[in-house]
Amino acid sequence: MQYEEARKIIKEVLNDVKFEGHFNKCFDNLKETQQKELIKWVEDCRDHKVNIIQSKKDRNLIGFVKKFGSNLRIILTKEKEGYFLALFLDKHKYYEFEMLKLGF
Amino acid sequence: MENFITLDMVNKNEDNLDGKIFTSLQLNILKKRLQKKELNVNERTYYYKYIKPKLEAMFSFFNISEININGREYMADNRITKSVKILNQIRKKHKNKKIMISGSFLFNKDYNDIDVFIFTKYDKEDYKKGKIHVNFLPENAFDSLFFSSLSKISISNFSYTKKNEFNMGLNNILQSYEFLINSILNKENYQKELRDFLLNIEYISKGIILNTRQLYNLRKKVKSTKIVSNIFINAVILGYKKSILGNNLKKYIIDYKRLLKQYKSKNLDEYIQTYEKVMELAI
Repeated sequence: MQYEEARKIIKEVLNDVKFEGHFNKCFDNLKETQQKELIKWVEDCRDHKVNIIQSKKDRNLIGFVKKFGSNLRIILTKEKEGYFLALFLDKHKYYEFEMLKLGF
Repeated sequence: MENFITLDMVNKNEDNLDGKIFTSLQLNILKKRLQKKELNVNERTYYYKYIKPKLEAMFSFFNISEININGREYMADNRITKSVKILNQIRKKHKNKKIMISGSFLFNKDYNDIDVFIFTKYDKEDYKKGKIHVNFLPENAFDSLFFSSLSKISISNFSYTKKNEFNMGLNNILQSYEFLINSILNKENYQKELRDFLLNIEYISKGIILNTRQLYNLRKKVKSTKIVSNIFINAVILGYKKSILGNNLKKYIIDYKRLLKQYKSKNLDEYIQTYEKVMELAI
């Protein structure tokens, strides 16, 4: 699956979510099984089946995190009582900066 | 430079050195220096004018220049020589960069990777070549607790001053605890989160900066959320004032209980139980 198609599917699941990090490049480099796993994980986040974490900087911000293999990481952020905000996909190094920035 | 030789090495090779490379006086000064005894003015002059240049010349045969070794007593046999070779290889590729080798390669017979850290102003992509894992870190990492721990058992091509005092707020500790619990419950590889957690927790509760070997040994013993939570409870009670714990934890317990009504999130249950236990014991 190409990233364009994945973005379309994810937007249908989460509505108007932003894509952050090197989403396109990282998604295209995932194996097909991992791509499916990512989409399924996004659906599970929507269905409240995934563990959540709350930001220490902004108590109205919650997030869902997942590791893909040894290097790729994903963060999905959401307003506590509102919409999904952004889906971040990138290498672990950039993920760590992002986690700190978000207060997770 | 004298980091690379020991008193024992000088004693064993005294016959080869005395009268051929160093005079008896120079050898005695070198021994004194290696024993970390204070040198008088004359001895210091001798050391810097005659002894150190000779050592540098000798090491240049082996392509060794400035080498800084910390925690030699913990290092496994042959690893110093191997590390210096690796350091010199990497140095050719990354000229004029500050390079450090640390991690289990230095002290453990078995190891997965050889961790090499390069400190740069500009961000670069980490890479792996065989067993060598090259990590690029920003220069502000020198001021971190991570660097102070990392450098305790390390070989580098630069000298530095380690920071020993760190300001660590309760929120930092909560983040590292919550993140670790979440990784364990998600059945992910949580070794990095565990390392950060143990390093932080030991510092806030006892003021101790663990070295990489201590961290490696501790990590092997911590294998469940129950152990992690118990370590957390004891450490925050020792590390923070009752008022700070009370105000913050109360707030998060309320938040997490509300969230639990919407989300079936196992980690929130664990956080609530742990924070309630802290409140019960500390306040």
